Amino acid sequence: MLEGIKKELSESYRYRYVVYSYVQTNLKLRYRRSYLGFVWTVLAPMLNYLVMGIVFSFVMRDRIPNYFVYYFSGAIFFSIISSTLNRSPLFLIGNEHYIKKIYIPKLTFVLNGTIYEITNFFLSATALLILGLLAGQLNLSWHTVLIAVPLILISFFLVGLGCLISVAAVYFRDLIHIIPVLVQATFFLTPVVYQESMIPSEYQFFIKLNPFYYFLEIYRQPLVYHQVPAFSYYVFCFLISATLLLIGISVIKKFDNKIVFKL
Amino acid sequence: MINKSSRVYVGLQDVRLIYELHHDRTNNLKEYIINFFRRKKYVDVAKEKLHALNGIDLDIHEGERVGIIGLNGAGKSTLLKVISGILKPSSGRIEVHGNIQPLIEIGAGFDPEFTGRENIYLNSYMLGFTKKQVQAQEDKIIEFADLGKFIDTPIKYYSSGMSVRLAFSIATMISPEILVLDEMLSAGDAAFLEKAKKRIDGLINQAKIMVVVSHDLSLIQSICNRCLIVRQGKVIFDGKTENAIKQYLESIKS
Repeated sequence: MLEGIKKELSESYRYRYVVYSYVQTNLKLRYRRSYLGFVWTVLAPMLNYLVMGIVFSFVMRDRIPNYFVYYFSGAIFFSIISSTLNRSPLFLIGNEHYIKKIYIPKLTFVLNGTIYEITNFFLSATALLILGLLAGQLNLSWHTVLIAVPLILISFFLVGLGCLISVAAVYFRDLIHIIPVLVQATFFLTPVVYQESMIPSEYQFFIKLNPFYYFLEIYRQPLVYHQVPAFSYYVFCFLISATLLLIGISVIKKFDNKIVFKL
Repeated sequence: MINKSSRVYVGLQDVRLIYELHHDRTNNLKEYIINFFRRKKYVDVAKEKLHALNGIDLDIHEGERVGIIGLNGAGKSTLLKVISGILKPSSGRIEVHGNIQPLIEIGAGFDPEFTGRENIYLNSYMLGFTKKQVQAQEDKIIEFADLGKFIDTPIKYYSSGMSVRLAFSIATMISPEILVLDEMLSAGDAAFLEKAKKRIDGLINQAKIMVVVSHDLSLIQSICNRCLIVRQGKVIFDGKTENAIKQYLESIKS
């Protein structure tokens, strides 16, 4: 298994320029011929969250202080998860024409999609961060540095899960329709729009079963509350990300030769 | 078997490749789950196995120009894809020493939304070239493809001749040690075909090993010094080009 992972990684490294060129050109492409161009990177998620934020703030405002910052920060973080996972069934299926004609390590296609989404996140998150600071809604402290950890870990997590979902989708096309529903359900199972403490204590157990809860905690606590999260949360996030990444890469390597015949 | 690692060499031992044909392509999760609970193994009803390569043994050494002929569906193109590493054999061993460049499906890495220039980069990277190599060749590619100002236009607006010219220029920018060719190109105007032919000749001359699939027997006759006849996934003749062509023509008649 380790041998396979090493091989897939070194082959993907050889093809690293594919990822570089794919991400760069697609980002450019996204705003080509639109009047506001790059501004949409900030404007689109802003408007999106604003709509949701206004709706939920009527319900939640009295119960969660600084609701907009609480909601915006969580929603942006969850957007990397949802946008990557929603696309993940198509990582391999959508690249059928390449896979059948030239040999490229399959991990490259997963990296293409994941890194594209993460880069996009960084662009809009940075812009929103600056806006938040200018508007006086958000304050920085040394804790802010800590948000790098969940961002790196979630990237590994998503690459691993992306490998698994994209391979499974080759065999079961139904996943293209199932995954978005599951992602939507996960969104509401994760305390993004509400706070954990608002859930009756007998049901809080369910929230703790959700791995995204821990990622969100180690991200939001330093950013919004300037607190250092519990160390055990970091350990949990690290272990689950590392495990998924290794399993994901070895699965995609194992199915490397079979996928081409199933497309 | 001669096999010095410094030498350019292609070797196949008992290579088999089995395609699973799905006549009904719906991959159904529902059926899988039902069968799982019935403790039955998941069976794809409309599945058929096709032995595209049926035990191929082959040694190609430096200096050999190998032509592969055979009827449609004999496994010629599959054999080329296995040699170039696009398909992995179901069983058997394959050994390739030397850098290999297939000219099989040129233009495979094109994204219609990208401009010609962006596609030069994406496509070259997909073929395994490095950034430095592409940067060094970029101007030559554009010049050879003769696209002028269209190089910065998305290729969805290109005529089919234009995209073939671009694809050909990219795929042939570096002369490989092992050249793998499938059927010659058909698009492009007369002037470009002349230019393309010259470049192919150059690549053939520089390549240490060449493997070519073609239905054009006179072409095979003129450029190959060894010829294989493939039928139903097996090599049924391996030897001098004249003899191979003679036998092939006889077998078609009978």
